[in-house]
Amino acid sequence: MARRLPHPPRLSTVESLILELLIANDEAMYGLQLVAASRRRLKRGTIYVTLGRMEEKGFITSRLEPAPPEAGGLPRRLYEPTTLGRRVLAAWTAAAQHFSPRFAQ
Amino acid sequence: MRPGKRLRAYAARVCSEKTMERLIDPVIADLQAEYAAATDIRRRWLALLGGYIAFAKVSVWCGLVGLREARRNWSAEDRQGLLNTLWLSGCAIVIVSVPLWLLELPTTRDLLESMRDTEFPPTTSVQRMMFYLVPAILPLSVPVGLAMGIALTATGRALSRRLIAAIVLVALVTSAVSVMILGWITPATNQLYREAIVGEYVTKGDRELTLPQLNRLVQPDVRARLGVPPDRYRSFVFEFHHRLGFAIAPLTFCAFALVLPLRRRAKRATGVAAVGVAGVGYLMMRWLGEALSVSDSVPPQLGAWIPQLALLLTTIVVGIPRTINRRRA
Repeated sequence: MARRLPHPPRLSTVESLILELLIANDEAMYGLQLVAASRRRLKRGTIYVTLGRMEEKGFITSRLEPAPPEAGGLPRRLYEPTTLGRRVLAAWTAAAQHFSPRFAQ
Repeated sequence: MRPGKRLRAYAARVCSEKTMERLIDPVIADLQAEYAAATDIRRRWLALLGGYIAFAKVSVWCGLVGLREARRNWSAEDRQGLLNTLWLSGCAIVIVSVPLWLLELPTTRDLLESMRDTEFPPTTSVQRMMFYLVPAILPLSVPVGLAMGIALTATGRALSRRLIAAIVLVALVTSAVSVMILGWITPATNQLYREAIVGEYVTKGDRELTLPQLNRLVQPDVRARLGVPPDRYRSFVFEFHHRLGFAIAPLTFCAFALVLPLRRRAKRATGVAAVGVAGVGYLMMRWLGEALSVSDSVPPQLGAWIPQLALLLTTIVVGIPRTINRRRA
């Protein structure tokens, strides 16, 4: 009987956009920074749902900001890509270029 | 007090630790950070608005996920609670609908009688006319009946999060059905009712227009193109918003019924009576809103939403003492 191969990691458009933004930025980013950098392609109401899902998949990692903000509010969460996330994005982009060069542009 | 602190406290009651950490806290943290960074009052308001909208979106998502999980871990007690709610609500809807429906009987009979001596006497029967009126009763009787069923089930027992989520889902579905009834079915049956009396086609009034038709008529460019007079335009706007308000009535009545058991010494009979009073109050607020709108004392949009706002305010007022008690504890 043929062995079922495991599914390769999949990236949605929003997930790949988030990974691109995180990799392009050398430092870890806040959710709102991602929203601002995406030029309205990401929405602040839904970004954390996507970020949470990506964290579960192991594409990104998060941590609370080290120092509490001056206003004394809740500490914000910083996100950065993992090695797996970088690899998956690279593979995904390469596949997109291979199958549809125009789409990859 | 920092903005979002109370919202977070409410969310913490119903959301898991992981959801709080991953979804709610980042949204609240953004809200607080933006609010703190805002240099003037306008930016602060914008920060609050953006933050609250983001929180609402995340809450809806959490609710959907919670329902999916709830379905998996459904206990016998929760299942029984939901069945009781549905059964009692169904009975209450019938009990509320029938008197409301019968109230229309004398008017309908008189109308038909008055038309008998005219040149074109109506050929329809009272039974058929009364049948046409059924959809017009449902938008009020269904939310009130649903709330009574919830009050009967919820009073005197602790409701689990799963059961509350399921009840809210039932209210959401009822609300969606109300949209259908108010948007398409009631206008059609109203028109049939009018035509049955007159015996021929009658030009549609505000209540005989479907929701999409009303939506087009309240657009400023359509108004300008058709030359709709101001009082007629106000009437269209009121009717459109009034129907939207009625469509979400199952949700607001459901919230009211769920808050009632929070009061100390709450009893079933008191809960049902309170829902009944709320239903009557809702109707009175509707008449008040229409009167204020017709007299141009308030914008028609506000006039149409007065019943909803009044019910929401009552729900908050009823729920606050419990919140204060918890904080003191």
